[in-house]
Amino acid sequence: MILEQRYSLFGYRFSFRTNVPRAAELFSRLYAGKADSRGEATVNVYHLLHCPGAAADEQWWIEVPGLASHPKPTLGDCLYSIEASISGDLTRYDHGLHFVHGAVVYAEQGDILLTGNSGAGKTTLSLALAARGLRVGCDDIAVLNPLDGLLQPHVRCFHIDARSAELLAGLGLELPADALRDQFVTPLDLGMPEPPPARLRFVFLLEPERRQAPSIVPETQAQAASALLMQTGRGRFSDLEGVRAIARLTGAAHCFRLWSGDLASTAGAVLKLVRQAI
Amino acid sequence: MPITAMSKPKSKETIESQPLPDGSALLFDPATATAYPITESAMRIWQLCDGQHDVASIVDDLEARYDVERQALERDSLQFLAEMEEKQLLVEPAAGA
Repeated sequence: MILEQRYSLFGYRFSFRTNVPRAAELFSRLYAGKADSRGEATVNVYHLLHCPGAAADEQWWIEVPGLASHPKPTLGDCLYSIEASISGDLTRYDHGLHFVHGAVVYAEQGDILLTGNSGAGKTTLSLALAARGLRVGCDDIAVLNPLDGLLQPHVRCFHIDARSAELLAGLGLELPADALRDQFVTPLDLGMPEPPPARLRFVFLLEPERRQAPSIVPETQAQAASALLMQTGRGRFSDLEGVRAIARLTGAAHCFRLWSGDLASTAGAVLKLVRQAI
Repeated sequence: MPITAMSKPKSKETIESQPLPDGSALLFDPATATAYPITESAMRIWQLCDGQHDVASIVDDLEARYDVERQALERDSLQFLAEMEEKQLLVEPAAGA
């Protein structure tokens, strides 16, 4: 039986169709509160199908916009590809939004943006901060409201590899085993089903280079804005309005450049700095 | 033509400067859709790139503001202006008068 779910993310409306109840359950966990109840046709449709009788390497199939139906090795791979396609299509969809690349973390002293290239460690550090009691809104994309300067996290699943899971477990972060198995940890699994808008007070630019001990140095708000603009290589930041919006964002924040050390020390250093900055 | 102490640099009118609360700023060139971050002191230099001030008078201004040796201020100013010229943010080399 095909299950169909309809969602609307920042006005981007799409359908998810699957014959795998587990996949439907995971997507409903991820997009909690984003169900689209309108009866109109959605912009795009994403399919995930399980064919148990097929050959071992042709049991899991996906079909996403712009790409013909094709097999994937596991359910986790299917989920990853579909979720990534949805997020990519969301950022390409012309709805006039300003997307910011980074992880949003909520702290009592003020909200935090961790930005940096893919692989810089945004996800792992944000989850390490979650293990220290902070709340994570997203680890990749947020939408900037240029009028009020608030950042609305776009929920994505956290892709946590085995090594990161081990490191995070060492820090005391408990994640559902089934979510880890499918590499589909959602904000709901971290107690944050619908992340609220964030008002940034801290921006950390994550450098890809790792050091023996974490190093954090102050950065100018202009450098932070420039880094964010470079991180956001598409969308509406190529005009003056976008530049001003980003400048307002970093202009309200303490900005730092961060070279990570081991995970626990890095999270500790970030927390210490955030607490001292107030 | 290289910028010297006698040059009177002038910023392009199309370049938008976006000052930040900490004194730093972004220069945005709409022709290339590129934003350049600059420091507080560089922003002061940029503000004086009006075609009226020569580099020597720009350095005078900086010397009155910052506790830095004049030689270093002149070197840094010339370097910054050369970068701005290379990025085509200045109207012309503006050598001499």
